Amino acid sequence: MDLLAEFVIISLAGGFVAFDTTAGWQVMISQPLVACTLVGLIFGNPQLGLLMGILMQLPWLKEMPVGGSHHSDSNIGAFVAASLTIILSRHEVNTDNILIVITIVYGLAVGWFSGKIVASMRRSNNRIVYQADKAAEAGDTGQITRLNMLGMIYAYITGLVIVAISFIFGYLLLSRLGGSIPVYFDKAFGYARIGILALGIGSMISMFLTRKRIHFFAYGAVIALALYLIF
Amino acid sequence: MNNKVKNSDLFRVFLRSFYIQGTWSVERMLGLGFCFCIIPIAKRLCSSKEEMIKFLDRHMEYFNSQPYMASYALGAIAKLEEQAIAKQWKDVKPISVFKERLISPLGAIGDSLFWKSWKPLASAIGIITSMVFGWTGALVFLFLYNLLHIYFRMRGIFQSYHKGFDIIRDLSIRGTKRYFTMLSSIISAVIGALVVSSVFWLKSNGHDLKEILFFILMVLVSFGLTFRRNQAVETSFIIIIIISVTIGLII
Repeated sequence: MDLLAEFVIISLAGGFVAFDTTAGWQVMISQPLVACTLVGLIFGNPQLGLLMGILMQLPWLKEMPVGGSHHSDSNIGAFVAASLTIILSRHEVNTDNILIVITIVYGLAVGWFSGKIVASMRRSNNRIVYQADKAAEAGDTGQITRLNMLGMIYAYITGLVIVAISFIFGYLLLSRLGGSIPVYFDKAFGYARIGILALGIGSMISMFLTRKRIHFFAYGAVIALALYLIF
Repeated sequence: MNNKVKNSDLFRVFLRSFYIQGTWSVERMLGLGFCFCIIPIAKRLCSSKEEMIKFLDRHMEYFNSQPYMASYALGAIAKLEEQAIAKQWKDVKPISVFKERLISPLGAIGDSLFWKSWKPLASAIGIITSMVFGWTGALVFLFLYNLLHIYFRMRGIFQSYHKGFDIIRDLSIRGTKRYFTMLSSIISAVIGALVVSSVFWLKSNGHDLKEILFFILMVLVSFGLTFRRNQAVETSFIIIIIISVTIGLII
């Protein structure tokens, strides 16, 4: 598959990630564990896709999409990071740990930017709602359906454009940056990879673990340990 | 009372409910989405254009809820609209008032159940499975999460349609508290299993004892970092990366 075809597939899939995150379905195909793994499977590196998904799934669970709260769009950020890691690992950069860490940092920036765009899109959706008011006053159910679909198409296209632009920009930037970091640092960046996995788990512990529940944590750990030792 | 609304109408509302957030707006939040979802009921109940206009107008108002739990409001409102026509209510204001009253419990229960409990639980189980069986863990996550998600969407519409006003009794935050306590205990156990799985996963990926000890240390550091609720996730990421690379260079 050439780079152009890969770019088109990633952009189209990015639209679905944005759509599932905010506008429709919400069946969680946009979650990093699923979306990153899917990118890996499509581009022939399921292991790397899965690794990115595991690293990026947990840290954002603490941020809840409650009411009208604004936060970064972690799903888009993780998707762009995983796509870049998989494509760059094949085309340009060979040092795995450096590549994974710099794409994740880039993904954080993309997620933050995408969160701002989603917030502004939700403000501009007010205009669609005013048009729907007019349709309701006319008793036109077809127009209300079309306007709701317009909002969804808008969400899909916004996601597609964000992913397309951030992918091109990231490809150009990170292929140079990744190549300019000495291979000597790869081992040190490997520690960052472990640190990111620990961040997700530490974040979950801070969400759920209390003194009252610490024995449940111990039970889970002991059962898992026993299972690992037996099998 | 003979039901005018048919099961097929409720099923159409269920399918439309997947798009309730289609045009989420700052001003009305799920208002347009709610109106879009309830159109099959409007088509079934309204016999004149005037009735249709009033019906649509009522449901274009502000509405917000956790998106899956909005099904409970959709089903109950379908019932009330049906009753209003059958019993020829002179004033339909109670429908709007009831819809407003549902916003808080649906948001509170939905957020606690799905965003705060079920998603972390399904994620942790999905990750443990991924560490053992590879990419099928992603499928386990999807299956587990959507089992409850789709069940609640479906149950919400049909159950609240049968109960009407009475659905509010089932949506008590106090009444559901014990389930959340139980879920939190299960999640705590799964986190324990996740820590152990991560250690074995690192070991199977060729990491040595020094790196595994580093992982445990960083879990503790991350716990300290994320304990403060107001800190952005991005900040935690950057801090962890800087600390890890620095330690990696020193070691």
